[in-house]
Amino acid sequence: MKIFRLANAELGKLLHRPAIYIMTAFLALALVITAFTFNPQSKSDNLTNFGTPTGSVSEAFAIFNSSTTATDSKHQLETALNSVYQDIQAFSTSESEHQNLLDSAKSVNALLTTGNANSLPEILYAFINSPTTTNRTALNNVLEATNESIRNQALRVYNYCAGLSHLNNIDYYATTSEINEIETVFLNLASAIPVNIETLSNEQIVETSENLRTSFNLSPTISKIEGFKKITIPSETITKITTDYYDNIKYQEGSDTLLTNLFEKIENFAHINGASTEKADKTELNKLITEYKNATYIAISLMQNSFNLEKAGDYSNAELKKYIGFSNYNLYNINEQITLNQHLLDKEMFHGEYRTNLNFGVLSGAEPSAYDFAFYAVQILGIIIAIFCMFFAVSITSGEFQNGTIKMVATRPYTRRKLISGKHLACYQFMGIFLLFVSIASLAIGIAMNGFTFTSHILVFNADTVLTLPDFVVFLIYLASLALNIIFYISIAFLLSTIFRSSTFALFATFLIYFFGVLFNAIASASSWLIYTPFAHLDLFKYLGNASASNGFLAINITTGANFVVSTLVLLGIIFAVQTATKIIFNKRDIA
Amino acid sequence: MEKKTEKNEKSVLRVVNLTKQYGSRNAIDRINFSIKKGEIFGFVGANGAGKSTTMKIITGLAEATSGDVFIDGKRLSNNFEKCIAQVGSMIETPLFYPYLTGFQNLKYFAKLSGSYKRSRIIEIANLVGLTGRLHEKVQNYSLGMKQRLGIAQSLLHNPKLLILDEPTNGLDANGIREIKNFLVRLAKQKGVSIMISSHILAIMESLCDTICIIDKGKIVETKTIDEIKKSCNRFGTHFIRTSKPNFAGMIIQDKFNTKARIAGDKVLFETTEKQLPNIIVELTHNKIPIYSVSEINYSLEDIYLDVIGTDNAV
Ligand SMILES: Nc1ncnc2c1ncn2[C@@H]1O[C@H](COP(=O)(O)OP(=O)(O)OP(=O)(O)O)[C@@H](O)[C@H]1O
Ligand SMILES: [Mg+2]
Repeated sequence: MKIFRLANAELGKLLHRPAIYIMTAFLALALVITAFTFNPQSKSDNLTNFGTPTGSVSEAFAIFNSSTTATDSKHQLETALNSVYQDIQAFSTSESEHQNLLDSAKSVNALLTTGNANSLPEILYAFINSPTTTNRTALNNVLEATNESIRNQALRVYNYCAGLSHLNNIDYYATTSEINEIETVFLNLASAIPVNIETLSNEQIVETSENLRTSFNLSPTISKIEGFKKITIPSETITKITTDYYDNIKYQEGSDTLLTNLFEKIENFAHINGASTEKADKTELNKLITEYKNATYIAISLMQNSFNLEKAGDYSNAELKKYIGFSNYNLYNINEQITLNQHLLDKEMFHGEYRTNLNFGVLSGAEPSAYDFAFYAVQILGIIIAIFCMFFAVSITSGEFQNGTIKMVATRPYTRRKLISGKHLACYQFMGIFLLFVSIASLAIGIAMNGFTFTSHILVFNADTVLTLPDFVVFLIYLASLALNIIFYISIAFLLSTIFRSSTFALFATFLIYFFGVLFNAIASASSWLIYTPFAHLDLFKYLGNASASNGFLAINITTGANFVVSTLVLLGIIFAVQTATKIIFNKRDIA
Repeated sequence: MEKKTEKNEKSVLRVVNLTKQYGSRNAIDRINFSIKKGEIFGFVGANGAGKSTTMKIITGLAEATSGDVFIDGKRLSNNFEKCIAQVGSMIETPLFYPYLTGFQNLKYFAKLSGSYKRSRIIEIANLVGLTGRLHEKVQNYSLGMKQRLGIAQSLLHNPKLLILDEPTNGLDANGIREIKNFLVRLAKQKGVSIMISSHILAIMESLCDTICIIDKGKIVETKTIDEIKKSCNRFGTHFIRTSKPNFAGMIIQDKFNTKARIAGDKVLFETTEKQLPNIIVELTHNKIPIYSVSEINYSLEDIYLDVIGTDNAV
């Protein structure tokens, strides 16, 4: 194919440029630095550590079983599980904060409006009609009562707002601005009443009372509070969550729950090997304790996440974002966690000896292996490769326009379409060679550092399907996803080079878009409109777990409410559109 | 219809009503010409006349606003690859990858043409006189060396049609002669058609079969060198320089029955060598001071200036 001939000639030229050797050396150096900074948490870090170097197994068991303060002791784990359970129970039984807010707002309003014999206006008129000392005292008392009621109410709203960060306190969907508005009304009201009424003259008292009466009508505020949609979870649902992830799991002597069974295993082991002071036996005991711990945390996570999912109701991610307490909500991540943990629970996989993308590159969950380093290294070096690719794309396009050599090429028997396609292909090959180099080199370094272990890799695809794949396959998928990332930026570089024809300008514009993308990742990750930008769809690997193919430096790591199919189509569509535009512009404009 | 095809086959390059607009200005305006096999076609015109523009369109670097280019009978716009494969070109200053050697540059272009042969590159380098410096980086080349390399790259794939835009730019006297001889050989022995533009009219006169004069985007004259020489004679064969050109002209016309033409202090007229002494005697007799008498040697330059006028600077 002629396009391949073009690409090969393009790459052949590259071998004569010093830049390529500098790039290679730079990558090699970066790889070495990465190797030094790689510090994975190993499997032994995950294990509990009960017992002393000289102590016996039964001593270690005793600490786990009876200590109320030791981290990961049975008592501590039970406390953690219980507290989540109690939160959920509290939600289903507690008096609604929403109702409280509404009731006291109504009571304050009643004090300010006519009709009620004890209300401010009635007492005020009585005082104006007959300004006796008795009536003055009555007015004083009403004002004081009103003042106190308003202060209490303002405080309630204030406290409520302050406590909003804790999700469990929320029992209705309200936006920050709505709550702020209500708070402001009450705070204004509170400040409108002087603190010390006794010292005021009769005229001042009348004026203050008149002011309060005419300025404050709380009805709009009340209707606003009434308008809040209450969060409701059917009691059957609460029951199901607590049955599945608490009642059937919690430790209970004599029962057949999960934690009871796991505890019995520990107890049996401690009973049989109690006298042993061997390190191996204590490690074995800690392995069993770790399973107990992991099972507890899986249950906690499932219970909490299922509850959170119920609280989200039928709202979408984007809708939830505006409500207080839901700003960090990501339904995709919640579903992903539930899917993974349900799988682990069903398969009784509490040993933690698997790799998962949810804590990818930091904590393998298994003994560190060559792949851990390879993933880690490619994650970092992929960014450097992407930048090299952008440089290369710009230099073979606007660089040629700038030097004028493009006319020497354009007068060869290739249509313009083939010419620009050939350049694209050359850039893909350039990327491929570097990715291959980094992959192989990092695997080799990984083998040298950590050896090679086979562990299953558990992935959650699209938040709802569990896949168990060999590391190698995951690594290839990862590379493919990274390549698509880079191809997007390559396409942008070609488009801008074709438009600007000046290397400096094209490079500047390309990097601007690139840094814009990175910045997006950092600042706009919570915005609902993110899904309408290309950046939200650049990283397909995140649909295999929480991890980004580029550590978030090439693509947005968070999920935005899209799914694998949508993002794939959008990404391919964008790349196609950008490349088509490039071809059209390159084809239409005169070269010289 | 059949006749037309036959005609197309004869001309290696045919340009029909070619127009190129930059903004509202016509850089070239309905240009027509054709070049036969083995013909050397000289393209002359003032700066900005549209020579390069025409050549850019023929080589596909620019798109015509209207009109057609046929190469070997095929329309360029729908057979780009086939047509361009027949064409070797050098448009304006040739530009190369400075970090590659001359050889590597040629190798790259040859590979693009799908016809890389080391021996062929060496052969061509020899022809353009670059052999000794071929393996040096182009960034160290002189202007003339780059020009020679430019000619070399146009020849790599044995084109049927050569489009050379001012190929003599920056060449030394030797280089010019070598290239000229070389191009003539290429045309006459190998049958390559050559379209060439240059401001050095003496070269064009001795090199080209046909001269096409373009002015402000329009073709004003297309003639063979023979035709040009013949038509030149209408101005006369001899001239005298005198302080009284009008009087002298009158006498020559009246007494010798030939047309005289006045140009400054010169009187141009047609006569024979035999008659000339009589004319001089007659003029002297009439007390007309004669400063010099000479044969007229018409050059392309005279014709060119005559056709487009001397005030034709851009
Ligand atoms: N890219 C362009 N944009 C606008 N005008 C252009 C462009 N290229 C050429 N022109 C104009 O077209 C006209 C013809 O230019 P062209 O380069 O063909 O002249 P030329 O005959 O080759 O002149 P020279 O002898 O100086 O090389 C000029 O007026 C020039 O200004
Ligand atoms: Mg020119």
